[in-house]
Amino acid sequence: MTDNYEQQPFDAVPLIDNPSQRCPCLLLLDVSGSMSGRPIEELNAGLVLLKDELSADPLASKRVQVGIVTFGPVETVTDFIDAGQWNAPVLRTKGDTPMGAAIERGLQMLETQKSIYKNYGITHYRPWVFLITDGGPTDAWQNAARLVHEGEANKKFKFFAVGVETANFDVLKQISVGDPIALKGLRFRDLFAWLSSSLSSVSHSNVGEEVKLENPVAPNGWGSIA
Amino acid sequence: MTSAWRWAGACAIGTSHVRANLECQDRATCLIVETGPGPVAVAVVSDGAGSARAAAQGASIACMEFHRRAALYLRSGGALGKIDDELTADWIDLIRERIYVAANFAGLKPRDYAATLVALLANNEHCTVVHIGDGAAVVRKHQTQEWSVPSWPFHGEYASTTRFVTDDPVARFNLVHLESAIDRFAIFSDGMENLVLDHREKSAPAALFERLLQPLVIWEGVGRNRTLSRHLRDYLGSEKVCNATDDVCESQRCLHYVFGPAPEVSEGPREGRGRHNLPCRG
Repeated sequence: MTDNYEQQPFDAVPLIDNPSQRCPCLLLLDVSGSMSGRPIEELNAGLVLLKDELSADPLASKRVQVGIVTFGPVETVTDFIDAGQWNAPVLRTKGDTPMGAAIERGLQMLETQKSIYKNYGITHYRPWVFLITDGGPTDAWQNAARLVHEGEANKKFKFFAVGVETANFDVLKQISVGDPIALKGLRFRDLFAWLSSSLSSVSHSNVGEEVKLENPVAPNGWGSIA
Repeated sequence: MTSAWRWAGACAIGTSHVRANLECQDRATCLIVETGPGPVAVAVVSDGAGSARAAAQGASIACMEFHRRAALYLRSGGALGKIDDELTADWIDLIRERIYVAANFAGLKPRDYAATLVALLANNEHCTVVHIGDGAAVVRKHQTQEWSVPSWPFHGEYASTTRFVTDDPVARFNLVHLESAIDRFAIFSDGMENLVLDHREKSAPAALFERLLQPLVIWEGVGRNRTLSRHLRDYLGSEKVCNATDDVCESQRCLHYVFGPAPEVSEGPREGRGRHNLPCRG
């Protein structure tokens, strides 16, 4: 036998099909009565945009996972699922604003998902938690705030709070470690376009790479510092 | 019979590096060190951190300096089984010193040279693995089809986080000695991990590595097989490999694989037994 290989000698190597690394994104969405009308319509349109844009990116559609918990009352609308297989739900407004319980439910869901990743040998990026509300909590929120602060301190996730202009920003500031962002008008679509673009950038990132995100509170951004 | 080693190796640059106009930051070397008891294969792969400004230089320094220290040790009569934590820490400190000098000269920080390290040293009787971060070496127990991963790649809690030679205050390494002899091994950077390791079972699939090594096993030469290395380079950058990964070929990949001992050293073509540094290919 010589080294004159007539064909590619490695073609028959049975490569492994390992699961992709994941980038979990948890959306905590306010569907209380005050969101009825245009706000909920714009929020739903934003979710459709998020779905379309993530699906259009082959890598993000495989790596980003979306989970949704709504509050008013607390409901798990979407357990974590790959963005490519996810269908944007049509949310409807309901009751009050149990924000504290929704945060606790969502963070528990996140821990469960991380355990699943671990069991299956799937690595993951630091999860993103995105809270969007137009009001203030109607339940006890202090424990949720503690969990958010602990999670941020231990780098368990990144927590973002976004409020429509009627939101109780005083409470949001106590829940979120970073400054809450006030949504300009009802620019939910711009918010979700930014979220999709940011998640795509994260899912494409490499070892130790710092991902530079577009500033959402820039003059042309969708929000402002509350 | 005199034992020897034969090997092939290649690196391929990922599309994300091509897009960003970055050079390949993987480096790999293989050296057969002649010693009294027989030749020792010393293979090293280092993967420069994607975000580090001088990652490729860091990976080069890690490979070259490790090889230099290992060769000096082996040629002075040092035994593989006597490589202990203290000696390994000394070698890694010397890599770090070289990086500090380079960083100082270039006006950069040592962390700008962040790079991982996978090194494997093997003779007829013993195998030693030194490991910092991700990437891995897999080995086959002599004359069996039992493949194992002596040191599993380290990943932090989140994807794309690992350990580097330049970590402060010290680089945390794994030093593993295998009691039984090995006759085949492969060593690779993290870009290959998802293609060749079973992460769920934490194992090295025997069928995959037996097939991977086959072209080298049936080769009758000694040392580096350049033709096979070229085939491997083409394969690592091929559509088949890209399609097999979830990252649509974002990652750079580097793979060495080695078979030994070979038949009589005096027989068959000898393509070179010195140290070989592998270039990347876009």
